[in-house]
Amino acid sequence: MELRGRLFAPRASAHQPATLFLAADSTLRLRTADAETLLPPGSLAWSSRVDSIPRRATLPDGQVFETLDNDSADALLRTLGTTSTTWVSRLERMRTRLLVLAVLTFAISMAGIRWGVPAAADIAARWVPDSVAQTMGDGVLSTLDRLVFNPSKAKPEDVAKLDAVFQKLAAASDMPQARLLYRASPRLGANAFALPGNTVIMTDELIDLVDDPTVLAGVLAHEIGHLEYRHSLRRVARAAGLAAVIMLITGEPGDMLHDVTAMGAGVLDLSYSRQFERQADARATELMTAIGRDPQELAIVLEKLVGPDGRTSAFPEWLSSHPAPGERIEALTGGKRP
Amino acid sequence: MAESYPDIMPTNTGAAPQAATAQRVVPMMFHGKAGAYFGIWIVNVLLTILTLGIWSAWAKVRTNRWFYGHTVLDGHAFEYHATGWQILRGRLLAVLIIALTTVAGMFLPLLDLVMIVAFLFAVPWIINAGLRFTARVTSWRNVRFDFVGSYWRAMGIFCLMPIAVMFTLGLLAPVGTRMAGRYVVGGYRFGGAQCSSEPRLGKLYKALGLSVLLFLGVCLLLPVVLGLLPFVPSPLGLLGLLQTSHLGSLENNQELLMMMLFPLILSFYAAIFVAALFYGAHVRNEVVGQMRIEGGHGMRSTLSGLRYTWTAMSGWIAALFTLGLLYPWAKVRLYRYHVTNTTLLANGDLDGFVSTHASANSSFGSEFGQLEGISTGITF
Repeated sequence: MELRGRLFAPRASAHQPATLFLAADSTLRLRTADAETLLPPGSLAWSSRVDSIPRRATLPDGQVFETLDNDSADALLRTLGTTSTTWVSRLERMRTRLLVLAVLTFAISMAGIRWGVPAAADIAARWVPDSVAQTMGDGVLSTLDRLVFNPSKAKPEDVAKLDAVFQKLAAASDMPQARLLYRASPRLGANAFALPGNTVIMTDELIDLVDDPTVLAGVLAHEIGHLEYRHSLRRVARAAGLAAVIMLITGEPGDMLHDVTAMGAGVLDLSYSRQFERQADARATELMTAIGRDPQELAIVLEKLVGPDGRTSAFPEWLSSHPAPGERIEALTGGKRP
Repeated sequence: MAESYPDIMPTNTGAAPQAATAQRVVPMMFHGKAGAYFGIWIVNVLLTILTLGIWSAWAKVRTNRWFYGHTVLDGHAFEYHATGWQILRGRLLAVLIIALTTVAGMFLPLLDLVMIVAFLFAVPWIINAGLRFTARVTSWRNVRFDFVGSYWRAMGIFCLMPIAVMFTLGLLAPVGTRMAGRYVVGGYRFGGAQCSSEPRLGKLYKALGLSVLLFLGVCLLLPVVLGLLPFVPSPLGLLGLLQTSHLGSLENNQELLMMMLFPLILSFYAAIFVAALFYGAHVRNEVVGQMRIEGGHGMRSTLSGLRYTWTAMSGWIAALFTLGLLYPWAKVRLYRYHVTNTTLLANGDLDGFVSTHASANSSFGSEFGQLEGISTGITF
């Protein structure tokens, strides 16, 4: 068994042709133009095989033997009984089987990302104590107060009516400690928010949109649903989990594939959000029924916000954090117009 | 199996080197096949997932060894000597520091400020350490590279200069590029031989001008193309909504604005991307083309800005649409384009080099820099 290659002087570019071979007496020898050396067993430090790149063996005195004949090198190492991590190299060469494995892996990864990450993130979110969630929510509220919210100018009688219906809803729910706060939000417009913890925010702009504020009971029930399910917290956990998995799969951070995949993750995050919104809508129906109000009220408010002809938003669903209003109204009314 | 590289004479005996005084044009070649890299890449991904990321260190080593090992110059391949353990140690340390500082920052907000300042002062060290590690674990013809940097020069070039470039809206970018190119190439050693490069400012400004033109072109043309696609929101869709009297929706007004601007924003980012690639190709040509290696050797780079940009973009889009399966092909294709447009202008004999150091110290600086996305912007 013979390996032809080059022998380099230690750490220098000067080299000469050389042959590594197993002599008749089963000893390993190195032959150059002017000498033949006996190499004691275990004296060569071999590099591992990667495809067909040159293979190197470093001698104890620092000389380096380099050969392109990887197959013979593998055979030699097998004969000598030394392993040189060729299992990875053999794995890398099973191209067709690997392609099948690759497709399977991607299918499993996609499934994992679609369902595994949310499941794991939700479990993680469940372990977050209420006090920590509350602190996070308070932090978010103080930031919002500084940046987008103004003190509420809602009429006291409206506030009283909303507080009353909110108390009823909270008592019927799994979050009796939920509290309702009022803010003016000229920047964000008519909306209601659920923050991590137990806080629901009602905006003056939303109150102004309706004649009788108690019609907003459906909206309050929807937000209480968010609190019960801890949606805000779970969404953050899901986003973090997704980011970690993306980094794991695409490998080198800073790679372009990583950035592009992150954008895909952003779209996936929005789909998680839509799923939560549907859950909250369903819960709102339950809570409204529990306190004896008409669950269709939320649908009525949605219709008010969309427009008299029910035209759905021109914003495509996959870029939106809420399901299209038309879909939500259909789900709430069961297809019947209220 | 081949016994030697097909592009040189197989008999490289100890006889006198041929044409010792003439200047030789030595093209760089790449012998790697995308199919082979696919095998390596997919095994890397699978093992990395199975080992929850630990294998990523060895994945990096195998990848680099494959790319370097198939890059051949004058009948000799390059080599990457870092071991998986070296990379892993560096990565673990970097991850530990990032985790500790993040957690500390959450509980002691004041510490956050201190750490931001500390980070800024660490950047020049991170850059130098990264360059030094990568250089020292790279060899050609059995001789290692080295990098010798200067903390304060790195501070000026990579921390302060970008601020100046920002304030001049990019007009000073070529100056920054020239400084970075001179510093990075000038710090390199090959077996004790000094390297240097004096990129010409005129050429760099010309590159910037062309990049700006490309940027404007994409900004103007892409929104038109995007507007024709059915699933992308556009101002045309907004017109439909305007016909109804009520603009209300449960979403806030900001989202409506975003819908209008979406194709413009997308085009803007795409244009920046494309222009940056284009500029990068021209910078590489100039920096490498002006490279001199002690002993009278020079280099040449012949990338075409448009072809390079196209190769990169088409590769990534192909990878995107195949869920990453075509990524190995795209990466090999782009790398091959780099290599086949690089030439060494050798001044005679290349046999007299000797490595000046034995080991590469820790990989921490290099790995920390990679994790935090710190880079010099100069690629070979």
